[in-house]
Amino acid sequence: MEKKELRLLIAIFLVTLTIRLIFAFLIPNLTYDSYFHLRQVENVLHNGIPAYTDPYSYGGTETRFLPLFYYFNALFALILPLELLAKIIPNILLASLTIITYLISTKITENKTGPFISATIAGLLPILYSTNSFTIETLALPLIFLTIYSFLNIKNQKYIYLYIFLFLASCLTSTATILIIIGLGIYLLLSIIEGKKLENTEKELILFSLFFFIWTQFIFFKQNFLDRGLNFIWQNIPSSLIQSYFPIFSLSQTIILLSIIPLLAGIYTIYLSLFQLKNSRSFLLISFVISTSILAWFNLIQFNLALSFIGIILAILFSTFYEEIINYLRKTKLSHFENKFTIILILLLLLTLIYPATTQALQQETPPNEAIYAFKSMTENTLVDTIILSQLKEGNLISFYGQRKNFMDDHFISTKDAETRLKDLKTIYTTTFQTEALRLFDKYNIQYLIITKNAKQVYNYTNPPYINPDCFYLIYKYHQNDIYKIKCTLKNRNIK
Amino acid sequence: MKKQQLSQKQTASKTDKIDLEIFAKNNSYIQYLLKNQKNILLALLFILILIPIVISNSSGNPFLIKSESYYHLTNSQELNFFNPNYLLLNLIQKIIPYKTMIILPLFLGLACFLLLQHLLKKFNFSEQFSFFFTLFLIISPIIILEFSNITFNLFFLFFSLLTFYLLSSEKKYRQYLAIIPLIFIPFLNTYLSLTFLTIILIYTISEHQKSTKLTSKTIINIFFILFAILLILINSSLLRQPFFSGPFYSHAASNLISDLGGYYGISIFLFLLAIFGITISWKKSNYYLAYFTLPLLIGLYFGNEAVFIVSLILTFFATVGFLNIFEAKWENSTLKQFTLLIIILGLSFSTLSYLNRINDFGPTNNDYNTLVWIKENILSDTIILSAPENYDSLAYFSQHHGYISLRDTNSYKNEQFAKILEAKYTHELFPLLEKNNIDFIYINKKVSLDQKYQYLLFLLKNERFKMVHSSQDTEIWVFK
Repeated sequence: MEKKELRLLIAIFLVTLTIRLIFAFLIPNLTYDSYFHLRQVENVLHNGIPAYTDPYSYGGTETRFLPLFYYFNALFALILPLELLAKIIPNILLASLTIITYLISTKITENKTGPFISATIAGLLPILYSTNSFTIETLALPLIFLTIYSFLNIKNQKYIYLYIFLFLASCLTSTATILIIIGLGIYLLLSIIEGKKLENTEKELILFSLFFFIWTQFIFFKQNFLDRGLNFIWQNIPSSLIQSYFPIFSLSQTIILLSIIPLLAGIYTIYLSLFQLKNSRSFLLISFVISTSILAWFNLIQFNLALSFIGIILAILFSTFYEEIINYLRKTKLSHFENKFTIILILLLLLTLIYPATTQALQQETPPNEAIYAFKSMTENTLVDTIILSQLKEGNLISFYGQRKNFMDDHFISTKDAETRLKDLKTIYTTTFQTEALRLFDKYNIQYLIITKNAKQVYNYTNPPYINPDCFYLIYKYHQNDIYKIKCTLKNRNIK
Repeated sequence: MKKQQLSQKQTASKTDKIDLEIFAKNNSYIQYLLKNQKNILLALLFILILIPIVISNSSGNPFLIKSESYYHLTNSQELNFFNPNYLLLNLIQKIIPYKTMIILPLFLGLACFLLLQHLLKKFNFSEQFSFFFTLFLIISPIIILEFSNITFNLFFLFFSLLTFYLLSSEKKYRQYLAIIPLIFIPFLNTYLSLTFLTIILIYTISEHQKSTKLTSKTIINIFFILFAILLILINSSLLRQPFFSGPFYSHAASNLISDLGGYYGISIFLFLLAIFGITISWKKSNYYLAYFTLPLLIGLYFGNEAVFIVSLILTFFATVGFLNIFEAKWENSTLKQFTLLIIILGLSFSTLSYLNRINDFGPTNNDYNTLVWIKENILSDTIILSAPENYDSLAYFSQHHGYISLRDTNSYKNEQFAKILEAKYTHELFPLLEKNNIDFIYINKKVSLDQKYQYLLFLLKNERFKMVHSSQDTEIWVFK
């Protein structure tokens, strides 16, 4: 790589990182689901291991998850404050996708400009603009694509070992590594159909990857597989929420989140590669698109993850599309318009990417500061070892800030009765009868109830109708965020 | 330049040496295993079958874990001249008391192993194939479960192997004697009979391919095939033999793969190796006949009882796949060894994980004591409501009939049972219990942990129910 190209690549990375960090610090706090992961990093810092025996989630439960993400961040947490780290590190990781996209693009195209455009697209993909999200996918995606890059270079011996190392890291980070396995499987199938002979090293690595992935997942999730079988894929998500994790495919939403130009260009490139040019360099990437689409269609992976993965691949494939267009232009009388065409294309891309990315970033749902204060106050205003009820998405805030047991959070795999709990949670927030509410409080031994401003907006009231001073003692109130201590039981309505 | 070439050659030969290590003749570990495979595998089989028995014994639980054992023992308590298997079992029950009945599956299991080893050698399977095929079978959860219980699958395996052992003998009288074990097979169930028919057809075709003329062996085989077909037709049309013996567990796809919470099945690693084996077998001229067994996999759609045969077929293909992978030369020998290690670890993990939970499948000591109490204290014609999975142990130990079993095809009964479980109020439940003459309810740990029974358990608090017996996690309630 020339110095000029290196400087341009670093510039793209830095611009992407800057934009992401601006949004990350402009929007207060983190997304609701981030706080579970933040608590695990905190646990690794204090105890050396994540909280597999979680004292807070669902009132105390055993849980299982892959640990590498937490150890990775715990290393940085030794020097950075936790909440600062949660904004910086994920954005650095996702910004690094620009570099990885560039590297992979250089493997599939000979054109010099195309990879830079691909890197820019990857840096501005709207689906990746959850800048305040501290989740496993922020590490998993760069790792998976680095693994793919290593696989593309396995003719070089050292890349084989790099592939093994990165694959191992992916297996220990996220179950999304299955995208690599299925993708490689489709690649094998496509190669057989197209009559392409695979290298022996490729076949060996595919075999190794398959068995290694299965083995690592069974090591960590043995009990989950035994208890739920293949239903484990759906993470025990209650049926009323499944639509939000596995929504029905929406073309308009896909166009907005992936941007129309890379989407159309990607579809065109796939068509060209499969049916006309038979571009074997793109086979592997096309296999990943096909495998991800199949998994998403059958609701086997979450929609957002599928879109993120496909979006990055389409960004990479864009370089092939660009190369085809430029080669075509050079054959025509419009060859002198090549530079102008490139500039117009980049402008169009920026136009179709920046606004959706900005909207996506600004639409992130994060708890307001006033609510955070309320959760923090729980450490002083509530007794230790008590269960506190909140909205589903706020459960992780009780555990992280309040250091108290929550009734329910979004880590559904931890409990067997997620469906019943969610139904009861909704009842508590919507019922008008105090007896019904007290019955449920007694059933789960809930001693405190928090009603945030957000909850009031969702349910459209100032407080649940059954709240009265005889049974509910207000222990905290700040900017419409209320915490009540439950004084009564159903049996005799006596004060506890 | 010459020095460079020399060092490259040395590196290459070293790599070759390392790469061929796994199955090479200079690998002393593998060679020792292959030479002494009979003793090693026999010892392993013995240990794996004994583990669940020892664990049961130490907890005071009944030895036989699978419901099917109690089903057959109950059915064979009365003489049944239409089924020679039950005649045989009836005779065995008279000789061997219940507490030592475990000797029967142990004996049959060991006999199956010895017969299988003999046949693999007889049919010219390589040492490697024999070793790994037998090893994969032995460590499969399905075999561990079947070889420690009295099941028709075990009978099928024993009689089939014995039939082929006799048929493949060079001595004529032994070939004729093969009709004796063959008679038992069609009386097991239709699916196992069809399986036997498929295998004997494959065997006949394979034997016939060795010579152009119609040999006496082939004629005997054809006679046996026709005889078996006749018996199958008589059984299914006249004696109304079921297609499957069970079910004895709730139907679930996960029963094929034990790692997904199934009651039996095979390891997921074996399953993946089997898929690989199926895709490459068509290239090998020796194995194309094995494809004739693949239609038997359809049985899985209809019932769990097909899992045993499906597991045997998949283990065969898994062995083909495994040997194909590891006998081939790899570019990277370290990767080869690492992959082999992962597969071995994965298979061991599946087996150990299964052994850890196998004891939870069968009746416990508390169940046994409660069922004996029922036998001694409740009139024999009383109907007892309990989980369908408890039907067979209830019938054997307490000599009472449960309200419903998993094999009940009576739609009215199934509908009534569903209504009983769905009843949230006493005014819904009581008429159902009265209409179906249910006087007693038997609750054990499995029932109390199952969400399906939550309403019933809640309604037991009503005064019309009275607990008449309890033993830790088992209870008997009378409905007045």
